Amino acid sequence: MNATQQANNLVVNHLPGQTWNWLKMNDARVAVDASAAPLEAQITVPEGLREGGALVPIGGGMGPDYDRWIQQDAAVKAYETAEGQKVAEPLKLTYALAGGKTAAAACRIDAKAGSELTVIMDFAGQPEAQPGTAAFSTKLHLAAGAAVTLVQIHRSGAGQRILNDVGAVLEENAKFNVIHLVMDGASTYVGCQADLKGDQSSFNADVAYLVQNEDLLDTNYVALHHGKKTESRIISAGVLRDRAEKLFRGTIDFKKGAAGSVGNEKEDVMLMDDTVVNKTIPLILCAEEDVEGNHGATIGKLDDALLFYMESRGIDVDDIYEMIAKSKLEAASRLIPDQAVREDVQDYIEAHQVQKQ
Amino acid sequence: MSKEKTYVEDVDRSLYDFRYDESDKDFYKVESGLTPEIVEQISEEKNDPDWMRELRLKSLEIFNEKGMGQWGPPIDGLDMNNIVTYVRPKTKMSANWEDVPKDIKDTFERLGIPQAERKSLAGVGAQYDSELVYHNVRKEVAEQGVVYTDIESALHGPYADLIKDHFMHLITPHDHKFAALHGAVWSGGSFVYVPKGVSVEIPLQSYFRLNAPGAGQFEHTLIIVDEGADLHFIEGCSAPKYNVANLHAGAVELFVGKNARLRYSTIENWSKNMYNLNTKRAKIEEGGKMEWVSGSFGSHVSYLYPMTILNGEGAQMEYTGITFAGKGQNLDTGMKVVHNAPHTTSVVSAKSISKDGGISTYRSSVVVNNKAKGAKSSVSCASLMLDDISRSDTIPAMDVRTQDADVGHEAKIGRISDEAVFYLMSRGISEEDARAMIVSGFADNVSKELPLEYAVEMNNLIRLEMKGTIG
Repeated sequence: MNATQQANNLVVNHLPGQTWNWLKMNDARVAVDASAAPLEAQITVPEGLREGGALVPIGGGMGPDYDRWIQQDAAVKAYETAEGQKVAEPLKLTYALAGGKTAAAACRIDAKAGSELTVIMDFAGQPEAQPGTAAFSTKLHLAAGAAVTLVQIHRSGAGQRILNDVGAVLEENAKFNVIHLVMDGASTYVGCQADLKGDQSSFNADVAYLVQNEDLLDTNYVALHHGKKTESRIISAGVLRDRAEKLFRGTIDFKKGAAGSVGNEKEDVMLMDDTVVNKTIPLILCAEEDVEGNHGATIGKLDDALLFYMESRGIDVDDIYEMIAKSKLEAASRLIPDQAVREDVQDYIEAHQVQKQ
Repeated sequence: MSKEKTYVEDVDRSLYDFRYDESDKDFYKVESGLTPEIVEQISEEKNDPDWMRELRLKSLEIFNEKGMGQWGPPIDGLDMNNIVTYVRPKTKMSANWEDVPKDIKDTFERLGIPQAERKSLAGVGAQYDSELVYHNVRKEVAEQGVVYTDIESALHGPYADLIKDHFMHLITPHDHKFAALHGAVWSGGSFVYVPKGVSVEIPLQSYFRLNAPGAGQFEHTLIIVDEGADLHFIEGCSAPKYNVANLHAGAVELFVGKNARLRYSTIENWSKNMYNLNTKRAKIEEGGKMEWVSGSFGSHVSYLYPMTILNGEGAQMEYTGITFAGKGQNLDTGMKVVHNAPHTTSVVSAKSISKDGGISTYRSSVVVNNKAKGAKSSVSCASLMLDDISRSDTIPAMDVRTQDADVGHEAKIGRISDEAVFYLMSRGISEEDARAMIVSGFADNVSKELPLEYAVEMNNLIRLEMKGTIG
């Protein structure tokens, strides 16, 4: 191993409120190469969007260790909207993952006041790809009244390790929507943090995943409520099967002064095999009186009443589970605003994802 | 509706804050700090059997090796060099209140313990600093074969082997730093054995009073409820307030046999200079049921998470708890449950109130192991913030390792609902009374689980008097 290949041990996905160490949920440890090759994307830039924009430091869900590491080598693309510009077509970045050497890419979005933009990132594994690590960082600044929807599609194929960090700062009345679809990948680490700095800003995260084989999914979603009357909503739904392992961290953090804010988070996990490991830790941290925070989680097998209903319609139990598993991914895929991408993803789900054993 | 802030009065502690000065004439105490010599001295004083002496010294080694976790409230104000780990009143334990020294008897009289014993308890143990000064069990309960005594007597009597087989087997010195400390310097506490099929109709109670400034209390409670038996055990604790740190690092080990039931109720009202680093754990066999009822009101800092291991098929656990964190308090409470057998169930209802700068944290873990097929767990927690200088956090963890499980969790944090106040006011209730009613109702699920006398005590303790609105 030469100097550039020496491993770094990154501590990522820190739980904002620490708990017992024996649960092994406080953070994740990831060994990475000391350096990475720039990972270029196939990019479709819509009319009305231009390259450039301010590169202010923005924290992400993966944490500062990861930020320091990826900033060294990542291929950086930066875009900005014009003030009040509603960009009709999405910005599309497709990363063809061939595996092999660790590769990294970063994207910066500067959404000016009153502008609207959709960004679609496709982490797509190549046929015959070698095992490897691909690392991503997406940082966004949403000025007053800006609205950005970020869609990230994980379909890297077997054998790939994906590190995916998202961080956003929202000014007054800004709206940030994230759609995460995790359909495969040997190990996937996702951190996503939205700093609701401006009053009445809002953050929505819709997450859907299927983790199977011996794959791992480790996530950390954080909504920091700083502004007044801010809103967050984190909805995660997924399926675990085979010997898969998943850890969902979700945090609603009401800072002092965030009066009138509301935060909701929910996770719904269906377990399809007896060898899966599911970990869930939904946090509400609260330093403000005038707020409303709710979280809920349901974990386990399919609801008996639903199962009974569908069985009474003559559907086999295994088929019912397959249908429900697929529906969780499809539900999230329907939120993708671009029709062509949406249909492509739905075809992928149909063809590759949920197959009866 | 405009948003107004409610001022809720602090808990009235005058009932608990009285104290007597302890003179050396009446009390024996070890030097402050923690050394092998002090541990040996305690062991000698208590006439420990050899295995216990070895356990103490081994525990001390573990204590010295172990670090503190990085996850809880700060305990910087606690310096073990300043803590006296053993303070014994120079009196023998008695089964007659008249034989208890006057000051100590007066203390328990003011706390209402002898009166409660006469009215509603099957037996009472009263610990003052490090040792029990009173222990008694009703004749008819003793005749059922129920054993209720101090641990030290049990260590040297016919139950010596039973103690040896269970003592610090469920909570081991390796669990964490303060479990190790407990193992080294434990003193006092109660041993209860309920034989097969025996149902103790009225509760037993142990009351722990820590009177000495700068002292620690390390009582050990060991309860074995045999197959098909039933018991309600109540634990109460209080201390006067001092300007120096006091420490409580007790341990509670509960063994609930096949188809047995144990309800363990606690009203904790330590003074606000207390570091309450207590450990409680229960193991439940097939068809057995554990019920925790917990009210945490006192202490400067609390780490308190009763743990239940559902070890037999169909074992059940219920936890009902409330935590009230006021000025200067950082109360980190919750529970842990491990589903370790098929068809086990756990139901948790936890509430907290934060006011006047108080910090309350609900922390929990629900672990469903692979062999716990058909396990069900339902956790509900609610937190009420009464002002904007306080803090309330919810940190629940779930680890599920079988497909055949049904685990649900829900949590809410918020303030007093304007709509609820408006509704009550529209029924002719004043705003002040409406707010008081809502806050009292919030705590109601715990008080209704307690015997009447203790529910009254808890309500007195809360004393959520609405003094009007400000802001």
